Amino acid sequence: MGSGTIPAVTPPPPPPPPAATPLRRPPGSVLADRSYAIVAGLAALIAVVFVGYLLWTTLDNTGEVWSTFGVWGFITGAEWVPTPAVGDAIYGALPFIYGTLMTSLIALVLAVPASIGIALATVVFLPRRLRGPVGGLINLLAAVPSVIFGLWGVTILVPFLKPALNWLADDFGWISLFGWHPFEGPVTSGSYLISGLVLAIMILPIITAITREVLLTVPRDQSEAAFALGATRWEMVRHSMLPWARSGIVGASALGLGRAVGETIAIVMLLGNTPGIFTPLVGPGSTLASVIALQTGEASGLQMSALTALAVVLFVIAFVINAAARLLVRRADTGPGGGRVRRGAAWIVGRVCRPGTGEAVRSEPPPPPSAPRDAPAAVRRPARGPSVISGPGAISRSRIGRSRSAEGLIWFSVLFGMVPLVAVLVEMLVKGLPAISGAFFTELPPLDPSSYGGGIANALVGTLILMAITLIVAAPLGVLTALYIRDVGQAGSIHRRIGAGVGFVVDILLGVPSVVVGLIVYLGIVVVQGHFSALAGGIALGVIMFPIVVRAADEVLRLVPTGQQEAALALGAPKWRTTWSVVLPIAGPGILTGILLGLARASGETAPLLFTSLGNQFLSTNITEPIAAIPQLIYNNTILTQTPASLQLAWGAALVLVAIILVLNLGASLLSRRTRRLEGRS
Amino acid sequence: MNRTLRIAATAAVGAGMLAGAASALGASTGSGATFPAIAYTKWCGDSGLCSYTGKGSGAGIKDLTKKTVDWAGSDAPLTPDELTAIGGRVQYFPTLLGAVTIPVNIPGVTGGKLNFDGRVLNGIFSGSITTWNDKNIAAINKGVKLPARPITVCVRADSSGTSFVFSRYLGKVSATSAFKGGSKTPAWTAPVLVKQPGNPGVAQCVAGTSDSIGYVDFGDAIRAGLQKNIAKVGKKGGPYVGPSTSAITKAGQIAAAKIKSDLTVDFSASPNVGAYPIVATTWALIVPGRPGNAGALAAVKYFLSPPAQQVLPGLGFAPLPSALRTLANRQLSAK
Repeated sequence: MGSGTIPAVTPPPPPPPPAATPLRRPPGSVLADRSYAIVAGLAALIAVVFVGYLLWTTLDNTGEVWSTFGVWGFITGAEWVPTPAVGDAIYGALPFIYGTLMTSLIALVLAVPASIGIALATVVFLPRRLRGPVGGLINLLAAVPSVIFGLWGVTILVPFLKPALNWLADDFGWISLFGWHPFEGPVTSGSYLISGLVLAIMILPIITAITREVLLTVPRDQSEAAFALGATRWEMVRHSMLPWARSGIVGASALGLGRAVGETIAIVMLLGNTPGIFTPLVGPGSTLASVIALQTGEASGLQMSALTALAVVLFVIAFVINAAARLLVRRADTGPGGGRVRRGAAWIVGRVCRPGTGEAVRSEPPPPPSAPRDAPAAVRRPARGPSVISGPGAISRSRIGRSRSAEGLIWFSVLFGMVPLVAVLVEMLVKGLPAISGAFFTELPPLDPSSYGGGIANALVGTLILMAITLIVAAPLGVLTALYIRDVGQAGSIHRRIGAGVGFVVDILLGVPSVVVGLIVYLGIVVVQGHFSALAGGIALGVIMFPIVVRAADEVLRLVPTGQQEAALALGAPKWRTTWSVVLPIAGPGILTGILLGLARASGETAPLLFTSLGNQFLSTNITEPIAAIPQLIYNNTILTQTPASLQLAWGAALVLVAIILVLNLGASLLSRRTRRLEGRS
Repeated sequence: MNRTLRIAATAAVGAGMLAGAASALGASTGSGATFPAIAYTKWCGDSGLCSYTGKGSGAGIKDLTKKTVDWAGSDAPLTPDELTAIGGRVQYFPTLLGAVTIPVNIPGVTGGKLNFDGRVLNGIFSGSITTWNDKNIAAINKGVKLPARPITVCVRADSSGTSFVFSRYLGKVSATSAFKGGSKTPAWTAPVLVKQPGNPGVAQCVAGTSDSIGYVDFGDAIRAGLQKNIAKVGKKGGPYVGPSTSAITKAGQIAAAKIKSDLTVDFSASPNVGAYPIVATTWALIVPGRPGNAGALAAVKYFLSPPAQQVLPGLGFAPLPSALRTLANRQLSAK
C-alpha cells in the first residue's frame, strides 16, 4: 500500500504540511481523482486528434504544389495567377503573407493598447456603477458578424477617412523605409490602413474581455497593499496589476490575433483583394485567409492544392506568433507568477518612502479633511477595498504628473476604442430597428429582394439551434481541456508537460481560418453522411469556438491563487474536490466569459456554414437537415443581392443576433452573481 | 401569405411540430451559382419544391459530385476533370436568360450614352486602353467629351459566373483577347483594378468611384440604381444596344437545330437584330439515375413552367426562348 495507492496525479503539495499525512483519504477519492484526470485527459486527446487529422488532411492535399514549385519557391513566390492569358498557372504565397502580417500588425498595434485601457477603465478607473455595463457592452460587440463590420467599413468608415488617407498620401508619401513607401498614393477605397483599423475594432472586444477577466483575478490584497503603501491608482495598476496580468494580456492578444489572421469577409470587403509585396498601406492588398475564402469554392486541382498550402502557411504563422508570445511571457516572468510583482512592490516601497521620513506610511492616520490639495482625488477613491490610507506629502509632483498623464492615456484609449464600437452599435440600431416587428420573428424573408417586410424566422430558429449544438460541442470539451492543461497535474508533473503540448496544439486551431474548418467538417462529416445538416454546422462552429474557450479558461485558471488550493489539499480534500470547490468558483466567471465570447464569435460565422449546414429557405428544426442561420442571411442580403429592403432586413437580423448574445451575457452574469452570493452565505 | 400564416401558427405551437412542417417543405436541396440565385430562391419559395443556396458554380458542382445535394446550379458547363469526377454523365437544364451589363461612372458624362464594342472592352479590361480619352473609345463615341483621366476598372474578387460570361464574350469577339473560352477568375490586367466581392460589390465600386467601369449582371445593376450608367454594347460600327428584357430575349432566339444536344448553348455576341450581345443562360444540373432524383426533377419541371418563367423580367432576367424550353422539357420527360 503506502505510496503505491497515491496516484501520480495528486502528489502531496510541496512542501507537504505535516497535518496532511495523518489524514486518511476517503476510499472513493483516489478513484474520483483518477477519473477526473482521465476525463480531462480524454477531452484534451480529442483536441489533439482533431488537429492531427486536420493537419494530415490539409498536408495531404498540398503535395502537388510542393512538387511543382518547391516549398521555398512557393513561399517566396511573388505572383498568384490561377488563369494566366498565356502559359501555366503560377502560385506564390508571399503577397498574401505580407498582407496577413501587415493587416494583423496594424490591428494589434491599435487594438492591444486600447483594449488594455478599456479593461483597466472597467476594473479600476470607471465609477463602480458603470463598470459592469461597459464591460458587458464590449462582450456584446464580439457577436457582431464580420460582414456587418465590413458593411459599416465600406459605407461609413471609408468615406469618412478618405480625406485623412489623402492627406497622409499627399504630405507623407515621401517617407521611405528601406525602399518601402508606406503612405505613397494613389489612395484606393480598399486599403491596409482601413482594413487594419476595422480588424482592430473587431478584435478589441475579445482582447478587452479576457484582459478584464484576468485583471479581476488580481488578488485584492495585492492592490490594497499598493494603496496602503500610498501608491496612486496608476502606480497600483502599473506595479501590482499589470505584472500579474501580463501573461493573460499576451494570451488575450494571441486570441485577438487569431481572429485577425483568420478574418475573411471584412477583409474581402475592405482590402481591395489585390495581392502585392511591400505595397503602400494606403493602397490595396490581399491576405491568406481572404484569398482562401474567395477561391476555394471554385478551385480544383493545382489551385486547390495551392490554396490548401496557403492554409498551412497560415497555421505556421499563427503557431510561430503564439510560440513567440509564450516565450516572451515565460522569459519576463522570473518566478511562477511572482517575481515581477515582488519587484513592483519593492519599487512602490522605495518610491513612497524616499521623499518622506523613511517611515512606513501605513501607520499614518487617515488624512484629515484639510489634506493638501495636490493629493489627487484618485488616491482617495481607490479601485477596490474599503478605504485607503494615503500618506500626505508622500507623493511627489512628478509622480502625480506621471500618474495623471498615464490616466489621461487610458481615457484616450477608452475613447479610441469605444467610439467606433458605439458607432457600429448605433448604426445597427438606426438601420435595424425599422425592420423589427412581430412578423420579423414569424415570417420568412421576402422572395423578392426589392420588397420590404417579411422576417427571419428560419434564420433565427436555425441560429438558436446551431448555437445550442455549438455550445454542447465546445463548452465542456473546452473547459475540460483547459483543466487538463492547467489543473490536473502539479507544476512540473507529466500531466503539466503534456498539457503544455496540448496548449500549443490548441494555439494552432486558433489560427485556422473558419472556411478551412468548414471544409474539413465537410469532408469528414457531410460527405460521409451524404447530406448537409445542422449537426455538421454546429460541429464546425464548435471547432471554431473550442480554442477560444480553452485559451480564455487557461488564462483565468493560471491566475487562481495557489495558496487556497494548497490549503484545501492540505486539509485532505481530494484533487477533484479542490478543483470543484476552490478553483472553479474563483475561475468560473472568467471561464463563463470565455464561453460566451467563443459562442458569440462562432455564431457570427458565415463561411463554414456554406460547407456544413448549407442554409435552408424554410423553417426547419431538424438537426439532420440543412438549416438557415442569421449571418448567412446577412451575407445573402448584402453580398449576393443588395437592395434597400434587403439591407434593412440584414441590419435587423444583425441586431437580433446581438440581442441574443446580450440575453446570454445577462443570464451568465446573473448566474455568476448568484453563485457568488451562495458562496458568501455558506 | 398562406405559408406565412401557417409558419406563424406552427411557430406558436412548438418545436416538435415544427419539424414535421419543415420536412413537408423544401423537398429537394440545390446549391451552386449565385448568378441565378434570386430566381431559384423565389421559385423554390413559391413552389415549396426545393431550397437553394448560392455559393458559386464550382462549389455546387462539387456538392453534386459528392452527392450532398440533389441538383446544382452552374453558369458554366463542366470541365473535363469535373465531368470525370461526377461519373461522366450530367444533364443540363437551362432555366433562364441573363445579361451582363457594363456600368460606367464618369462625372459629366451619362454612361448610358456611351458605346462600346468587344475590342474596346477587351482593351480596357486587359490594360491596353488606360485613359477615357483614348482614341479607340473616342472613335465610337463621337460627340461625347471624354476626360483625359485614367480608367478605374471594377471587377469581381470572388470567382463567379458573371466573370465567366463576360470574359467568354471578350474572348469571342476580340481576336487578340487573352480571355479565350472564359474564366470564373480571369486574369484582368488593367493598371487600376479594384476587386470587390459579389455583383453588389462591383456595382458599389462603380457607383462610388469616379472615372470607373465594371461589369455587373442586369438585375443587380438595376437594383443598385445604375440604370442611367449602363452603356450600350455592339459590334464595331454598331448598332449599339442597351440591355433590356426584349434585347436579352432577342439574343436567345435561335433555331432548335442549332442548339447542341446537351443544351450547353452560348448566346453571346448574337447576330440577331436588336439583340444585346453579353447574354448567357444558366443551368440546373442533375446526374441521371440517382435514387433521389424525383424531387430535383419536380423542381426543374416547375422552373420551366410558364408561371415560373413569368416572374423572371421582374428580377432582371428574361424567360427562356421557346426553342430551348421545348428541348429542356423534352429532356425532362425522356428521363
